[in-house]
Amino acid sequence: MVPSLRVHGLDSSVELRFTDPDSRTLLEAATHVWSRCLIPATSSRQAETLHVQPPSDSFDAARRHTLQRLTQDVTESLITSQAGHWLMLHAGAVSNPATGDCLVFAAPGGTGKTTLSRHLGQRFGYVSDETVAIDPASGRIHPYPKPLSLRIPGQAEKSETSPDDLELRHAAAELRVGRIVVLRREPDHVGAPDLAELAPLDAMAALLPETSWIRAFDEPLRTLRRVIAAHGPVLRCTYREASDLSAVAAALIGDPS
Amino acid sequence: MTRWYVRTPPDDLLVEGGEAIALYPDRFVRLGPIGTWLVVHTETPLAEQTIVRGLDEAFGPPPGMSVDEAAAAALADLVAQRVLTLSEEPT
Repeated sequence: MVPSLRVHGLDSSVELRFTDPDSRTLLEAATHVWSRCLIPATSSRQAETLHVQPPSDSFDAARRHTLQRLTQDVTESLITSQAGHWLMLHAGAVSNPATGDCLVFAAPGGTGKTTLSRHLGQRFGYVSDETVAIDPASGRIHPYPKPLSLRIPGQAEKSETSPDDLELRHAAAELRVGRIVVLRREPDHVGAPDLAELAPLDAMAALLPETSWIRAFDEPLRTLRRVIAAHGPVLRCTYREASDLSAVAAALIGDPS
Repeated sequence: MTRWYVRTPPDDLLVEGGEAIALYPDRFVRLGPIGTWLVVHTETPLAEQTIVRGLDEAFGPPPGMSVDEAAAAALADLVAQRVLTLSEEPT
């Protein structure tokens, strides 16, 4: 029997098969870092099976690279399996553990989503640092508590880290959109985070680049517009440090303490 | 010689409050009031003179330039963004 792992997220799942005999260490590492996504759950979709190749050598850098690539492949597979079904935003999210209301923060890659997820996840329930799947009709969110890809000083590869190792809080069982925020991190920003309401079309223009498979919907623009109408106004948040946003999150989705 | 313009068919178009977003296979374009008027009215080819008259009726004379100049600038901008294309005169 081929060693395998089933990863759940975004209301879908994907089977990872480790066919190579040298993959045992990789399987153990993947099992560890994907800890929050291994709990069996009923999913509306199933992604194509991924065949995982072991690292090219036994050095840590190669192993980190393989795990990082695996995260990217899993995310892409899960997203693709939900094309045209759920609205998928390139966004992180945390939830109020009591109410399930989520703060969804959309931003391009490399602009602070993981750092913010890691920080807010100490206080709020960790939902995802990468992709959020939203039911456009109800606002329900399907979590994806994937490993966080953390930068290591002096290393090219990021380190895939389990949210359990970071002691991030668990999200509530039922999640829904509380508020959507478009992040703008500015190193020179002074003072408290600046929050500005976006007009609906401006919100759409800000969010469209952060959607995946939006064209798979019959009415892509109206689908996004419905979500904004139900949970808006969307806010643009200009900030400097992730730690500045804890109070903002509490104000928007409720203080979990 | 009269120029005719027709819109590039978008995958989806959302018009709201006189403004719009047009979605294309590889991009989207946020349109202001004049761009929205032009996209809405060029589903079939429209002559430049008709466009100028229509913009004048809808928005009045622009400050600091003639309606013809403003229309020419808006049309050039939308052609550059591949929202409109020059068209043959319809038969």
